[in-house]
This record gives sequence, structure tokens and C-alpha cells, in this order.
Amino acid sequence: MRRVLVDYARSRGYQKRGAGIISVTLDEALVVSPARGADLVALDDALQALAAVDARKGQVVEMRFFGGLSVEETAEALHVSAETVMRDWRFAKVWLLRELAGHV
Amino acid sequence: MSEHPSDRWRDVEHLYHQALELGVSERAAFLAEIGDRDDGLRRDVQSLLDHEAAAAHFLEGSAFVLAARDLADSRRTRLEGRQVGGYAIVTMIGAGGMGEVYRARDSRLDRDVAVKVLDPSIAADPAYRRRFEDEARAASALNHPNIVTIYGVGEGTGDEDLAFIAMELVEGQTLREFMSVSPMPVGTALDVGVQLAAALAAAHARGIVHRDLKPENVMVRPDRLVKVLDFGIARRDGGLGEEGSIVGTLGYMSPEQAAGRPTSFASDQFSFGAILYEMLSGSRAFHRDSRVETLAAIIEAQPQPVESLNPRVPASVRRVLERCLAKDPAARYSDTAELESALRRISTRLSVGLTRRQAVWLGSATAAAAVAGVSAWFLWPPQSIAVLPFLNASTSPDGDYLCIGITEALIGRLRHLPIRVKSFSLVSNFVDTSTDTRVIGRQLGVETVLTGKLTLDAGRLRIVAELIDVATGKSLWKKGYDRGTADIFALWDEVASAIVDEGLHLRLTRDERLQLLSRPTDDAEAYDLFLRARPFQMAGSEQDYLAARELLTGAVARDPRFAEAWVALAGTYWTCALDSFIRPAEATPQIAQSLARASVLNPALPDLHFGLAITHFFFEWDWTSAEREFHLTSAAADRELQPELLLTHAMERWAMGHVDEALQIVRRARRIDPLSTIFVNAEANYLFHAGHLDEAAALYLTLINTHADMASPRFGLAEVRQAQGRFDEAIAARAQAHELEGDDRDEELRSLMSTARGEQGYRQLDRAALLNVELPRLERRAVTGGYASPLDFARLWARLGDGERAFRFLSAAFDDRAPALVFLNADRAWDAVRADPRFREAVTRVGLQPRGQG
Repeated sequence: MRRVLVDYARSRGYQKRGAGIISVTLDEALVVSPARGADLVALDDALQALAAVDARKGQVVEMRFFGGLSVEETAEALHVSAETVMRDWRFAKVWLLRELAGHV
Repeated sequence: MSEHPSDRWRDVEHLYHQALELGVSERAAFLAEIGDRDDGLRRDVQSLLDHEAAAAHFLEGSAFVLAARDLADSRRTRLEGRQVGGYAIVTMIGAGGMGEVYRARDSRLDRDVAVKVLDPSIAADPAYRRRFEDEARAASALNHPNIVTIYGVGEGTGDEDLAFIAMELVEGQTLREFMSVSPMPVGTALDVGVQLAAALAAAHARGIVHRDLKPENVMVRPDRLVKVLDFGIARRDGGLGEEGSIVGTLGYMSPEQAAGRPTSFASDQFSFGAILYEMLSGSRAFHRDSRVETLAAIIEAQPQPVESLNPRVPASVRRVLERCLAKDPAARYSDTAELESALRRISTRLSVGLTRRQAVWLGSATAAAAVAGVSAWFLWPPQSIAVLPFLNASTSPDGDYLCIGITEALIGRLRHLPIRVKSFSLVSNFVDTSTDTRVIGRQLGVETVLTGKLTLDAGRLRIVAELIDVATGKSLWKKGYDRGTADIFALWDEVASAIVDEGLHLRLTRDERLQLLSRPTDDAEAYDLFLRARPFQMAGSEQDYLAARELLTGAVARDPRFAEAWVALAGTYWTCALDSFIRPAEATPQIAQSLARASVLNPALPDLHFGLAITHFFFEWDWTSAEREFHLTSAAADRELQPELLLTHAMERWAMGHVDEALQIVRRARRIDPLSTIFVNAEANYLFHAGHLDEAAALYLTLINTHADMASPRFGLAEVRQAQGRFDEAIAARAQAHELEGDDRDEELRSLMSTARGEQGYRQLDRAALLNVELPRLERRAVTGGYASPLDFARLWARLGDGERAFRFLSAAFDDRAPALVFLNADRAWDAVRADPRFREAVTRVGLQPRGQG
């Protein structure tokens, strides 16, 4: 489902922007107003990197953001507690933000 | 994909969550402890914590909703998926009386474009079609940052008979949409207005008239760059527009157009005036219920005075409006460039305030405009707050100074408490902005934001203040006050106490409580005069300084123990002397006397030491004392977050031959305030002087990209390119800078801007700019009775290599003790005469060591 959304963004002609610019647009584009287009593509890349080191956190983001599931629904789907989902969610968001901001 | 995260990963995650549980001071200790064991680990955790504040809203809201919104926008229309003259049509983005506009892809150049396809019924008229194409070609010659670029005009190869224009695709809103906030803040309206005027001036200089300027034809990008559409595109019937066109678009037509008489560039000025009026007042100047009445109003009626709709509109702007909206075209501006520069001056003065004069010394010929930019900027402060400039919600102009007054007073009172408070110079980036409070809070890196509204009405002062949590957007506290104006102090005590006790829940010591309730003077009337002077001090023209001086003189007469007023009074003199508004010798005794009074009364005031530093450095050439005061000031600048104080210190280090230190200092200023372009410009300037040419060029280019309407980085870039021997690029940068400044009204300069090439060409261009633009500017000043600094003349002749004239004026500059003589060593303008013994003698006379040759 995520694939579809990301490909949709790609097909709309958005260019993938460089990391330097992302760190600037992040503040306004991703955090403040909706994540769209190029940001969605960059997010997808960062999410893959997250899933590579911590599969469950990747799934939590996928379900919560791309799937629109609530914390409880996500917890049920992953067979973990809601509290764990919240912790994963909080950490994953910070980690992704840092990744998108171009931090190594 | 690994199912099991590494131990390291688990450690980071664990420590991160632990750190979140801790208070601020405990957290620092906790991190330090981690760092002792493993510094890499500490940095990892710290960098995650740095993003914590921003993460609160990140990814909240489902991707589905966002994508659905996107999908809904893309209406399917007949040309989608088809090829029109080498452009692949993607989707329709707009439609109007003349045809439809599509987003398309130019696969050759790999870019997205907008393709405007002329309605077939219109395209069928061959005479009209020829005119459409001729004029579109003429418009395609326009190359200006505020005009949409035309890429090409052509005919479709498809099965239908199509005429189209391919042009730059602008992402953003139309000015009509942008104006839906009414009335728009004055600063924003002027920002848009200046760019609009710049576009018109550039087009008019090339003989192209728009004829249908209206908010629907102007795009505003998210970075607020303005782009004018549809230049010079012929209307089907010159006079009244098409059948069935809506009344609204009639409202911007000039009286001569409405009467069916010939149009000229002055008609565009009228339309411009109608748009500016609407931006400032929130209502249409000539809109009436019917088409006939609207036309009659355009021809005969005067619009309602703009100040009655928005009292914040300055008189200078009202005068511009009156001229643009004159019924007789001959009474408008004889040259649109004049309109542009008039508006630009007003806008710069309003937005830059205190720091403008400092930019004048930065080596470039022009002052930088401090425009709030966009930058991701996250801090992790402890409890932190930004008090945003209060909004004057009343029709009384007195509300304006009270707004600045309460904002500064609250900042000043909270500053001594255990909470980080953003300084007035930082929050003033957000005067008159419509940006969302939470966005501002995030940009300032604070957890809480205080906003307020003030109404002054029939002797009653009403204040509503609200404390907002930046992370959640929730209101933490909100309270209204309604008092007489007699005791402002008591009211401010009450507001400040409520914010601390009920909003922030801070526990104060006895001393802190006393600080919170401290007053700069016990005399309410003296304080009122002091507050009234503030807006004038920030405005920056000679008249403004004089007005401030009169009020402050009154303040210290009422309360001679009012230290801040004495420093502010001194400031009106040193600013006038540094700006060359008055002969320095007239200012120095006044400055010394006022500062001496303040030193006795309150020796700790940061502004006092700033004033002393300026006196020692610029007026007494006493380097040792100056450096001591600059150090005191710099410490205060860091503590109080007043980066503008650092700019002058950087200048001092540069003048004394320590450009690397100057660079360090402006970088510090930039860290304190990343939003103001003035520090970016300064950093690029010192990079250049330190010989880091590539870095300087890169920084200037960044500024140019984000602030296309700023001339100063283009002048700076030209200097760098010249030093790099890249003369054609230097010429291009200079040409754009002169165009933005409106200097291209001079014919020789304008012609050189397009023909000059190579080193020789650059010299010719420079010479023309100095002789035909800069010199007349200085001479006009001398002739109109103002003080014109001989040093400015000397510097100009030195740049032209005319040593005799330069030294004659230099000698006069010594008679006047011109403050900028301190830059003799550092300023490259003197390079041509540097080897002359007379110059070395001058350098020695200032008390500096002449630089070795070569």
C-alpha cells in the first residue's frame, strides 16, 4: 500500500530532491503541512533504512502513517502492547526526522 | 531486513527514552555521564533528542488523506496525456476566459512547465492570433525574477488547431487566494508590492505594458516570491474586456481604460495601486454592485481613505497609493522605476529597523534587507518562551507604540527569570506576519509562545494575551484585561505576574519576583515618551531620528534618572552620525554627555556598553577602550540574544585587520538568529575578505536563491567573481543587482549591463555605475542642503582611481572626523591609492599601521 502511494508521488512528476534541501523543507513541508510528493519519496527511503535495522519499528510507521491504523489497531496487528507501539512510534519518528535532516 | 535489532540500537533506544523522562538539568548530567563512557553513543542520543520537538507533529495525519487531496485536485480534461508542441500534458491546473492552463513536462530539458492553450474559438480569429503570438514573443524577452518566464510560443501538432504558450510553472497561490487574510499585515503587503512594482518597472523599461494586472494574474510562491503572469498578452478587445467577464476583474482597470481611451504604462500603475490598496485595506478600491457603477467609480470616485480601513498604513505608503490612483495618468509616476524604488525604500525601512545602518558599512554599496527567511532550526532549550510582537487591534495609531512597549517590557521582565526568553530582535522577525504561531514557535526553537492583542479605545486599554504550547498547539493560559491608560505599569505588572504564575507555573525567589516587577522609571509620563520614541528609533530615516530625539529629550527632562532614556537619546545621535545625516562633530559631545549620565545611573545596561564601544571606536579612535567595551557588549549579545550588537564588533575586528575573528563573530550572530538574512550576508562578506572565495560565492548564491529580490548579495557575488577572474559572471551579477536597485535607468549603464564582457567590460560597468548613479546620488544630497560626507566622495574617487580628487576629499573627511575612516586599511575601495604616501599618512593619522605593500 505504501508502494502505491510513493509511486503515485513519483508519477506526479516530483523530482527527488537532494538531502541539503530536504533539511530545509522538512520544517515547513513535512512537519508543518502535509507530507507530499518528493517528501513522500524521501520518507520511503528513510523508512526502508529504518526497517533494515529494526523491522518492527518500520512496520509500526507503515501501519500508522501509510495504513492509517490507530495505536490500538497497530498493537493488535503486531501482537504487542499499545505502550510498546507508542514507544516505537515516538522513537521511529525522531529517528526518521534525523535521517531526513541529513544526519549521519 | 534483520528481525533482531543490534545491541547498540537497543542501547540508543533505551537511553533515549530514559533521557525523555528527565528534566532539563538532569538530562544534561545524564548525557554527560554517557559521554564519559562512550562519546559516540552520547552524540547519537543527543542528535535524536534534538529532533524531539519537531517530531511531535511529524507523520501525524494519514498518508491517505494527503494523497486523496492530491488526487482530487487533478481533474481529467481533454488534453491530458497528449503531446502539444513537444510538451507532454500532465494535468489541467486552471482555466480562464482566454483558454486553459496545464501542467506539462518538457522532456528535452527535463523540467515541468505550464502550457497555456488558447481557447479554439479565440484562436480561430487570425488577426487576433497573430497579435497573441507577436506579443507573447515580445514578452518572452522579459527576464526578471518577478515575471513568469515564457519558454516558447507555438502551434500544436495534434489533430486540433492549437495556439499555446509554454511558460515557467509556478507553485503557489494566486494573489487573490493569498489576500484572503484581510487586511494583510503591512509588511507583507509591501513585500508583495515591491516585487510587483519591480516586475512592472522591468517590463515598462522594455516598452511592454501588462494591461490586465489583477490579483488573479499574480502568483505568490510559498517562499513569498511574487511572479506576474500574462505580460503583454493582448486582450481580445482593448477596452472593456470580454463579454461576460465578471465585475470583479473590472475593479483594477484604469480610468482611461474604462473610458475606452488608449492605455500606457501609467495604466498598469493604476491597477497596481488598486491591488496595493486592497492588500492593505482588505477591501476593493472601486468595487460596486454592478458593472456600470464600478466603471463610474473608477472614472470618478475616490476610494475610501486607506487609513480609515487600516490605521497601520504609514503616511509614506498612502502617498504612493494616492499617486498611483490619480485619475489623470500624467499625475502618476513618470517612470515606474521611481514607483518601485519609492516603495522599496519604505519597505526596507519598515522591515530592517535597527540593523540597516550597520549593513551600510559592510563593504557592499547597498543595505541588506532583513527579511524573515525559512530555515529548519531546532534547539533543545529548557523551559523557553517567545513573546511575539503584540498586535494593535484598534484604529488608534497610539496602539502601535504600546504594542512594541508591552512586548519589550514583557521580554525585559521575563529575561531575569529561570526561563529562556527570545529577545525582541529575534521575535521582531515575525512582526506583521501571518505565519502560524506554532510554526514561529518551532522556528524560534521554543516550547511556548505568548501572543497578544491590544485595543486602545476612548481611554480604555484592553489586552488579551494567550500562552500557547508549541508542541500541541493547545492554549495553556488566556486572559483579558480592561483598564484605563493612566497606570500602564500596574497593568504590565499584572500581566507579567499572571503569565509567570498562572501560565508558566514558575516558582520565583524573592529577588526574581522583584526583577519581574522592576520599572525603568517611576514617572509614568517619562515612560510614555520613551515608549513613543521606540518606533521612530527603529524606523531609521533622518526625520524619524529627529522625532525620537525630541521625545527622549522630553523623557529625560521629566525624569533625569531614567538611564535607558539617556542611552536611547545618545543612540539618536550616533546613528545620525554613522549614517552621515549630520557632521560627526555635532554629535559627539551629545553622545558623550548622555552616556556619561547613563553610566552613573545604571552601569550594567548592555546598550550603554554598545554605545561606549561605538564612541571609542568610531569617534575617538581609541582601540583599547573600544575592544574592552565590545567584549562586554558581545557577552551581553550572547546572553540577551541580541545578535545585532555582534555585527558592529565584527566590523571592528575587520577594520583592525582580524578578518578571521570577524568571521567567527558573525557566525555566532547567525547561530543566534538564523532567520535574518543580514547575518548571512555579513558572513559571506567576511569570507570574501578572508580570501575564501568559493565559500563566499556559495553563500551569496544561497541568499540569491532564497531572496531573489535582494540586491546586496548580487553585489557581493560580483565582487567575488571579479576576484576569481570570472568577469562575465561578475558582470551578470552586477547587472541583476543594478536592475533590482533601479540603477538601469541610466542609459550607459543599462547598455553595458548587456554588452560588457571580460575584465575590461567589468571595469567599464563599474565606472558607469560610480559616475552616473553613485556620484549624482551624493551630489543631490549635498545640493539639497543635507550633510554629505566628504569621505563618501573620497571613497568614490579612489574607486575610480582619481587620486587627486580622492585626497582632496579625504583631507576634508579628516576635518569632519568621519567615522568610517577606521576602515581605511580594511576597505578594498582604497586599493588603487593605497601605495600613495599621502594614503599611508592618512592611515597613520587614524592611528592604524599602514599595511605592507603587495
